[in-house]
Amino acid sequence: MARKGIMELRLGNASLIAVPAVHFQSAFARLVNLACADPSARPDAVAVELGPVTAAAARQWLSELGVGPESRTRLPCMLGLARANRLLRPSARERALELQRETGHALEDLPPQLLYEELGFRGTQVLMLSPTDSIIEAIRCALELGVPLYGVDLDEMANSHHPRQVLPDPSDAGRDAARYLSDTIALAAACETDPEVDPRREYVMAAQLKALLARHRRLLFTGGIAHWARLASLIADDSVPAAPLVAPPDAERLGSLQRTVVHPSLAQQFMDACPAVANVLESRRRHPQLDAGRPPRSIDALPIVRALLRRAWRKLLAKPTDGRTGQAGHWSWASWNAFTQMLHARLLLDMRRVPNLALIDGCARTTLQAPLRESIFATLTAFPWVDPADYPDCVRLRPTVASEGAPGQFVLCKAGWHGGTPEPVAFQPPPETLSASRHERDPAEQQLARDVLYRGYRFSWRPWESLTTALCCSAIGMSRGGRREPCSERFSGQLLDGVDVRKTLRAYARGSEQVWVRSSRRGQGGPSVTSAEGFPVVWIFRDDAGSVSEWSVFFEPVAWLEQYAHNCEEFRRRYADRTDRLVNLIGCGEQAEGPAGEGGSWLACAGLIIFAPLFPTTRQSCRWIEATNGLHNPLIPAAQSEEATVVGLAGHGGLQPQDSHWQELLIAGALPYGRDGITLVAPDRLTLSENLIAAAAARRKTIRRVPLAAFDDLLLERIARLSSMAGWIDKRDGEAFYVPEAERLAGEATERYRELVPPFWRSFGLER
Amino acid sequence: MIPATVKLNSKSVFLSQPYQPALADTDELVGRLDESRDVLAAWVAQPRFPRLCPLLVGDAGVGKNRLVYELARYTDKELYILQGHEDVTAEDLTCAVRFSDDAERKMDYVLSPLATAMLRGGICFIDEIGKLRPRALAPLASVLDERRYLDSVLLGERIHAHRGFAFIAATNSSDLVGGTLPEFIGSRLRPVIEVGYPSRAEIDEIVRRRFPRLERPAPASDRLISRFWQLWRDERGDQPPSPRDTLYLFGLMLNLVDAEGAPPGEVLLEAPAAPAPPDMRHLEAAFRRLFGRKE
Repeated sequence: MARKGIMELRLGNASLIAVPAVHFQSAFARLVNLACADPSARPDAVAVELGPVTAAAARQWLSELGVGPESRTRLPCMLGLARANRLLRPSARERALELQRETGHALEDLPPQLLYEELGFRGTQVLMLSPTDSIIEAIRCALELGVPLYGVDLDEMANSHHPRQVLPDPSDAGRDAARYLSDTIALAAACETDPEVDPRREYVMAAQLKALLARHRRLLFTGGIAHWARLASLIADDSVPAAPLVAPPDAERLGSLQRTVVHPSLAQQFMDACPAVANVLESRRRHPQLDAGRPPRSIDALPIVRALLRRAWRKLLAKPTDGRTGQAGHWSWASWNAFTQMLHARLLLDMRRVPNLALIDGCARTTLQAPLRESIFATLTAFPWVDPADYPDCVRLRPTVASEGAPGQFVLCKAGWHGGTPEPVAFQPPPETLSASRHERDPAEQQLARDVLYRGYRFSWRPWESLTTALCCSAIGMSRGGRREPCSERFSGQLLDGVDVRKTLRAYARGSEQVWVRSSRRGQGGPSVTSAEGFPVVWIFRDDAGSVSEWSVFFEPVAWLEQYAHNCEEFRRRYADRTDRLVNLIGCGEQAEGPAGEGGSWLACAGLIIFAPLFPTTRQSCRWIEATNGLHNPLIPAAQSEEATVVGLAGHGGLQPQDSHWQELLIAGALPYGRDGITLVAPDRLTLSENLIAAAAARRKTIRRVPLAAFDDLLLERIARLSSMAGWIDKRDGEAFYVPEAERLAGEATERYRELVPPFWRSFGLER
Repeated sequence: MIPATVKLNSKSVFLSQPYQPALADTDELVGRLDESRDVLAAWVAQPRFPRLCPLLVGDAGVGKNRLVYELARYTDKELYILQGHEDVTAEDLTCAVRFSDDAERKMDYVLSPLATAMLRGGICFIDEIGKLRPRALAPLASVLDERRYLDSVLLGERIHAHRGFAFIAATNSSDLVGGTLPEFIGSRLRPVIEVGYPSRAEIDEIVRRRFPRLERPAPASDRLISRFWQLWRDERGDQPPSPRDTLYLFGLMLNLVDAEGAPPGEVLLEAPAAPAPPDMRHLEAAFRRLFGRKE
């Protein structure tokens, strides 16, 4: 029997009031509240699909937070309860024994990721105290009504495996819950279950509920919709005995659960369509005791999501538009149209009325540029999140950030958001979809990455790197006199630079009906900008004899590079100390003023040594090191200062550093790292000292000079301003991602100048 | 079977032939649910909006082509593939002319896979679009936006897309580095769908489905697959294997088993009727040969 979506099952004199729910959907939390709102039909007790210890711990914490009969308390978001899991699936037993034999270690000594991959084991289970979940709402109602709360499920269970199930849109339950449940319960029951875990749990729940129905006249129960049909038949089955009542858990057992603050980037996936829905739910929620008889108002998530998307849209429109391109900032009408088109189509295909955060993010990822995605995401996830400082005794749960852990892992941190070991975590109950973390896109995750990694490293700004690499290649080309030579080739479909009339006529005169077109090819013996030979390239922007106040060394630690090596053992043998650094560039000059912001810093360069093409990814840098045997990049210890590095390199180059100008220090510092010489771009007026020429001759190195005047002044001005930004390293290719304000600070897009880099270097080392 | 020629106004033109992937009915795609839905969503025609033209981006061997084959099978449309490379010209994308085999004709017009798909309402798949030169891509601009037509100077005709026409392109991630795709095409190829590496569970499932021979006995196959992951971790660390790498490896392993069981001096060109089961030795040997693991 169903009343407004609340099922009622009679067993003798007692009634089981059940709310089968889709987890973390506000419509079902509202149904639970509704079941408790009518004073004439209130439950005497509440049972939830949680273990007795977990339910008691959740009840205790909510009570401490102020949830009770006499106060209206908003649930802080997001808190959680974490507990260690000890149980393996029965089918993994054999493999577990084998694994211990193979590795020679006990299971508890093996890494969490290995246990997950080999045995499907997750060592931590987390309950999210989300206001949108019917179970949490039931616990709140029990506290507010002052009635007993029971956890009827197993406390400890192996991680269950459920294939992804497609059920009717749970937001429909907000409009007509009775109809939704009648349509969905049978469908949900027919979905594939986990035969190793679910039957055991359902049997235990049925036996517990039977025992409670013998004690209470009206018992409210809420749990997952997929269990309900089987649970109802087990309750009706006389052969299933009532379970003996167990004593309430003691303080020691309650202490086995860790109180946890959950990071917003993870929490937002447990709050219905988006966090704003949880906000509305809290504002419309009724206290069953204080607001008795006033049913809670229903919530439709669709207008909320629409309003948020409109808000994001208005923000975009407020940005100045480029009249020529029709683009405002980083978006265009075409991309916004594609986004809305994709969103509509995905809703049609997924048979959903309301898009959730994961779906919106998915569509935005495929159609919109990063800044626009971030703007939408920031609008959709705006929420008064809990301040972890208010909960100093709690551990913190966060997704992994760049360069730590595998996708889908989470970290329990003991102090702040730092530290902790990434591990696979099970959520009990699980969300409908849990999207993989995307460090570079989600503003909350970017903030997290900053909290965890901020100030760790600064990275040279990508457009500066691209332009510098491009100009270095040009300089190498010029230094060796290379240029493209015109040539003709037979017409084979493309006109290229036009018909070569003379050669075509000659061909016809010879009786050969061939059409020839003009083209160009690189001259014989010309330079190769695609080889390492031209590097290092030294840039001298000033020829004065003054001093420079600042030296800056940019490097990559060996520890970063080695994970991308083709032959890790060889790499480790060559670079035994993982803290050593391979230098990519050295700049000297003066600190320059830049836009206000914590993320960037600027150096007005007087000179530069570029030891290698500046690659955007560590993977490419590692390929370069392997291809050149590391001969082009100086290796320096981690503790060495910038000045000591420059002096050491110049001394290695055969120059007495104390007697030399900075220009000579730069050139001498580069000499040992060129194969047969270096490329020097300097003003014509700069004269090289005899000492320097002698040092180069002693090492049989050529200094190939290119006049500074050969380059465009604006471009030179740009590379003479060395920009660096705070950021972090992505795990996969070791690509540097910059803090979100980087583009604003620099006043240019991250991808600027990329097209100027020769294609060979752009794709160098990316093949797998 | 589609006709070899059609009449286009007064001209008789040859059509490209669709590609029929050799997929068994039971050979279902493993995983890729989100990517498939993204592509299908892009192909949903909506009032006032033409179909979107998705671009699949991913590393070599992750299964971009396999995804397209599966979608062609799922939508029951003809699939026309144009392989991208540096020598493709704008004419190759529209219509080419060749000397006729017919004594009564001098020249034949041959429609490209793109033009044929547009005429017949099939799917046009340009593989490795990142390898095409910008000037070769110019004719695509009018196909990918709301105009949905293709002009052929050679043919002197304008080909309007059939209502059922759908377009998809794919490229390796490395070919996109540095913005090699010109803006006028990049802005029309939406959504950009990243095809990542499959999870371990999906790779295991792919191996089991492709090599049913590994299924018996089950514990032994579990051990083999587990050993494969150990070897891979030791050799490649966190870098995941692609389905192509994995399938090559297990294929070679089974070939090594069969070759070992062959009578001396005999060359096996087909698997024996009663093949021997593989063991760790074969897997390790295959791994060494394919991925250069040292003895």
